Amino acid sequence: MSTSNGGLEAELEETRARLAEAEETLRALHHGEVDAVLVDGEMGPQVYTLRSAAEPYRMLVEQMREGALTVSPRGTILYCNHAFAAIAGSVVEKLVGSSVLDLMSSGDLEYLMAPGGRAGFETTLARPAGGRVTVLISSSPLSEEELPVTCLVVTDLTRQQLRARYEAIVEATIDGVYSLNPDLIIESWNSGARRLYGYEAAEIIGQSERVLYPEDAAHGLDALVQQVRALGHAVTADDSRRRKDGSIVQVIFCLAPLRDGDGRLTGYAAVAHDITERKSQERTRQLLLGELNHRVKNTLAIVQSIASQTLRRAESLEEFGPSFSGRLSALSTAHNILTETSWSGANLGSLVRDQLALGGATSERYTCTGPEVWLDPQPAVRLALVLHELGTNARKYGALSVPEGRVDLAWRIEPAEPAPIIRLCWREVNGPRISVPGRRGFGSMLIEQSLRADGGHADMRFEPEGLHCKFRVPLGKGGSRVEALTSHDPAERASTEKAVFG
Amino acid sequence: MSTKYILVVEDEFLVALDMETILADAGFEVLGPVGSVVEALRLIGLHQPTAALLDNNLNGQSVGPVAVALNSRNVPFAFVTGNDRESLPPGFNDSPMVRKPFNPNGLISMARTLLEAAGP
Amino acid sequence: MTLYVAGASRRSLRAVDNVREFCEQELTGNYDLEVVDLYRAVEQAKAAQIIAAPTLLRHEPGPTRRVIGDMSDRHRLREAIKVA
Repeated sequence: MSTSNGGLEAELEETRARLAEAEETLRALHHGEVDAVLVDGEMGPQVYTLRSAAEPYRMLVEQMREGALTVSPRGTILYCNHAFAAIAGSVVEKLVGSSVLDLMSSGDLEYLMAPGGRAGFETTLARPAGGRVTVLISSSPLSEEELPVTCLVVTDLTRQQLRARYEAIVEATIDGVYSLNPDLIIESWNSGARRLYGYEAAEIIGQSERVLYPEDAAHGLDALVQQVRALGHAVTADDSRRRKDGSIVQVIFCLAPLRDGDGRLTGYAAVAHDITERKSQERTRQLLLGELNHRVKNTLAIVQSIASQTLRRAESLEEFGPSFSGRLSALSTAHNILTETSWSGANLGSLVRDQLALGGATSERYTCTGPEVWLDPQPAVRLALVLHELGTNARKYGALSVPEGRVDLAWRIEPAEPAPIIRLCWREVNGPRISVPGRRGFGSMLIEQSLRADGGHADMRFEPEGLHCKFRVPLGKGGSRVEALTSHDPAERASTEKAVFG
Repeated sequence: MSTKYILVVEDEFLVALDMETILADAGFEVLGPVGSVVEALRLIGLHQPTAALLDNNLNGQSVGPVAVALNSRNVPFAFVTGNDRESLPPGFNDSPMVRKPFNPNGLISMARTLLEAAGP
Repeated sequence: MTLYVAGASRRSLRAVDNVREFCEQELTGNYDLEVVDLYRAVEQAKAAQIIAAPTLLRHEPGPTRRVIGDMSDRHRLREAIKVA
């Protein structure tokens, strides 16, 4: 850690930049500018899709053996599935963001982008790695708010089993996929639809789509059909449906017109995606966001406090720099441990070793004995700062300021009600004789007082052999609120939500 | 005329110290700071504060019971929090709020406003 | 640069389009863009400390900078991507 002003400037700049990014993240999350959040849960990292991201096609399109891609009016590939990447002899990551005109002629693209789309256009594509492939392409314009895009479905004509593949796809998808005739009578029904609605194929085929609507909502179907016929392409809506057992399920529903070679309507394809689960995830997202926000803001407040307290007590501006950045490092190091465990807590041994190493103490300068202990996040941060202060003082005036001095750290767990207590002892040995400091510095105050918030206690004694500190830290219930909020146990989630919101 | 006290409820020692320093330097008398609902209620019972600044989140506990106790004694207070109004205890969503990390001047002016609201 | 998106949502499509347009117009071919689907590369995203999608990471020249959202704010893109 640099102690020159130039190094400090650069680090402050970097910290500011990182804090600014954290603020930016929170702002984007808060304003709903993101589709999904990556959360490290106890089962590993998981992606929570937010309600603002409507994507009924994803599972189907990804599992399709047809190639599918979405292009912008200029021909930029905005999305493509793996099947298309395979046809093009490339990978999704390279294709997305590149131009489709690398693969087909501008004349072909213009043809495909005609309003109303095209069906069954046979042409060849140039593979980026070389060679050409003969394909059959269908196109559908999709109106995506401000961004009009065209969806292309590409079939590799070198393979011949189209019908068999289609059926396999439809069966494999977990969404409900079924077809309707022009009068909205159900003609096919996949297992996804059976799972979603509870009807067996045999009992639903021949019935009207209306059967799936709750009583008061059937007009929604009429409006949707009207829209599909008027626009000539697929329309998606958020809706409620009624299952066979009468229960209501929330779905994202997509109705697409099916046409024959002459453009006449032969029926509809329907895809229904269950989003009931997503609604409860939305609530979890809110709680997670609140938790994250609280932590970041609290951290910022702590940093601000450290800065202002250090500044008040610094004898000179030169002294402020190293003191402040030292404390900031201690805070940052503690946070690193916590981040690794997704803020569920920290191992006391790791915390101690990290903070001592930060102060430059090599392993022969201190001994460290005690059982494995797991601390809650907030007490962990507080203890880290306390250890840092002790280490700094030992280095400046205490046992670590002379070669023969050392620090003995030991802790044990004591059973107690309502939770066990850790007794931690910091003893400096073979240090220079020190007198009790007259003025109580910020560091001493931090050491003595900061553990009180958790019901802890600190006892600092300046003995002839050196500083002897005894700490009492109650252990919490273990784990953090974030873990509890993303827990797979609904009872645990519910009780945490109650504790947070009352 | 009795002394006017501002009760500070904040569980994070460093932030509490900061608040205490800022308020004391501005000439206010600080009660506390205390970091738990239990301690806050005890202090409220012993010395009725004139006004209060409450951290919304005390180590996972909501500060709601303290707000209710202060409300029933007509003691004006403001919440100090990093979160939005939605995270405030139910029924108190319209209470005055100071955002974390706070601007020292903002904290002082909120303290003044609360004391004025408390009356002579 | 790596752009992490959440599948093929409207916002993801917008983000890809916006970044692409920005790169064409303001970086004149001097860039290397990879688009990664968060749903398919969860571990990679976690390693890169991605919190939400869409997120654009600029790797070179270091240090890493990130932009979150649908990438429609050119000013923010410039701040993160352009070197002084």
